[in-house]
Amino acid sequence: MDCGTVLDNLTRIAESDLSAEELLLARAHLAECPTCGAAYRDVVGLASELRSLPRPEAPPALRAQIAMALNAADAARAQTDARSPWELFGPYVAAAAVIAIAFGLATLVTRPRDGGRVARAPAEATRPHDAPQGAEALPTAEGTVPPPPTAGTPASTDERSAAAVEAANRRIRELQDREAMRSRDGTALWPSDLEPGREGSRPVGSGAPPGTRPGTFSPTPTGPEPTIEPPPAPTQIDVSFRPPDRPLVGTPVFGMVELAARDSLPQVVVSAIGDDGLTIDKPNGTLYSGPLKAGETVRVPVPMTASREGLHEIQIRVDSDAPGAATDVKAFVPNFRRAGTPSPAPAAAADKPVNLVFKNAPVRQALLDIARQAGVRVEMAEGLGAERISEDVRGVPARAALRAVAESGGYQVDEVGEVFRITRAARNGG
Amino acid sequence: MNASHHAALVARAQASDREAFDRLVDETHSLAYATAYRLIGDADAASDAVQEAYVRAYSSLHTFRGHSSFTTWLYRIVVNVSLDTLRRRARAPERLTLVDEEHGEQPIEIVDRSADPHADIERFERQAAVQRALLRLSDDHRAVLVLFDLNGLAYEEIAEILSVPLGTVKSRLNRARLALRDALGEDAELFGRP
Repeated sequence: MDCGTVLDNLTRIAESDLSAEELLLARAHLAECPTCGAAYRDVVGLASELRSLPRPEAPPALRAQIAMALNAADAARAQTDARSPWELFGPYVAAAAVIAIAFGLATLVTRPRDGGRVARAPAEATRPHDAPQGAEALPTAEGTVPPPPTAGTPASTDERSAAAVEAANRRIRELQDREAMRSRDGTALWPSDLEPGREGSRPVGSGAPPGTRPGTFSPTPTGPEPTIEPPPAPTQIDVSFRPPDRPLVGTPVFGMVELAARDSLPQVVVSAIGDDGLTIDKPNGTLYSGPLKAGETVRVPVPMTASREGLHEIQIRVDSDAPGAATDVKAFVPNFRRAGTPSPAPAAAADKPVNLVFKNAPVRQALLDIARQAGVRVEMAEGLGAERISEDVRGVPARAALRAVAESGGYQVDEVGEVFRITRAARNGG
Repeated sequence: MNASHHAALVARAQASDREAFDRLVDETHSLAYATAYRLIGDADAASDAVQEAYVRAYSSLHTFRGHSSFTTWLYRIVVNVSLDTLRRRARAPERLTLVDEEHGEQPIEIVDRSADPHADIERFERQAAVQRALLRLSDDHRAVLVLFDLNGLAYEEIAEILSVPLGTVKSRLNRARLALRDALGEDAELFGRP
């Protein structure tokens, strides 16, 4: 057996997952070939190391977080179930109606009716600029399209289109009424073609007679066939919240909301509402209003004041015009306490001696070890702390131990509230 | 918990029994978290991934036909969500992380340090080195090592979770272990190699 075959099958050799003959040959090769033999020992040893890694414990709060996420899924499902079919499919039906109208009316205006009967259109009337001649086919003063031909007339394409137009106009009026009821600031329903009389909206062409009901279709036959844009893919905004470092009752403190999105969003509005014992110290709770660039993290301070001790709840809302981007996040701010009362993470923790010896250990891991043993909080940016240090901090208070380890690795320690923040040490004198 | 016990809970959950699904969560979330943590290497992100995985499982429970065990099905979702998380993170900017909180960074325990601090430190360092090397691997290699060596799953189950043939699992596992050896770099000396 050659080296390539053996190296390709080290795991199967270790697992005896080859035929007896193959195993015999492979083991003979391993005994003779130092390279393959070393690789085999490494692979087996590493597998053993992997299996001995302690299993990470799930955070105690995880179970509750999952329950909350499932509750939210239930609520979203219930909301979807409660929606009318129009709310769910209205935009798509409306889009289909746009096509039907454009297609149907283009035919209607070129084939004017007489007394409700379909008449043959003069050849020149097929030219776009002759559209007004087909005024009967255009919306009336009420803005609706005339009804289809009287009963008994054979149902032509025109008639079917007219029926579709009437149905569409009826639908448009429904949408307008609904929009008027629910619109806060003129926010339009999709598609924008249906916006009533909005500057820049497309529907009313030159052929529209006066008094056309805003928002109904008066398409000119010269107009291009409308293109229907599908709703854009939802943009997800990642929202995270960091509670204040030292939450004191009756004192303005700051949490932090971090926002990031896959796509750039021109306008994002972040607001927050606290529970009955927590006030967000911003007018209307609005924390941020501005753009969010793809791949960038926006950090928004959340000023708040609590009127009572203990756990508080905060609802963070992120609004955006992008479909699907708006999101609500519920966060908790624990351990609000009155000034002068003992802290749940007392400063004394930093004075607690640790009993550790580091030998060529990564700074990050050493800091973590000290923090865990003393029960203090340490912050360090991801990707930092790979430098190796050797320090004997047996019997050394945690604060001093953190400083010793950090400084050995070229870092500095800043105490921010009860948090030890580790950053790269500033260089003196350039 | 055995598969038939889970199958009974799944059947009840599929009949809109939320309590049954909650029981499934109770019995599997530790495993789901350990898997996500090993794949992602970050406690908060692993928690988020596990939440997302359960929401996905809950939403698509009606599609579960019982051809595999519930845990295998859940593993597949957890692995997919975790790998998605890694891909998203690869595009995201660096951010501050809390390295020590109640559910902070990797909880590697140092047991009875005072007895033989040097031996414990060396073991601790080896484990830390393996964990770091694991995170340097490709997603495919890390997934197969986590499922086989850390979670102790069988080849067949891994093949189902990763949607690859059995032979691919075996060859990928071999390559992953060799890649892990290479990824150790200078940490290899902790294992008595030059």
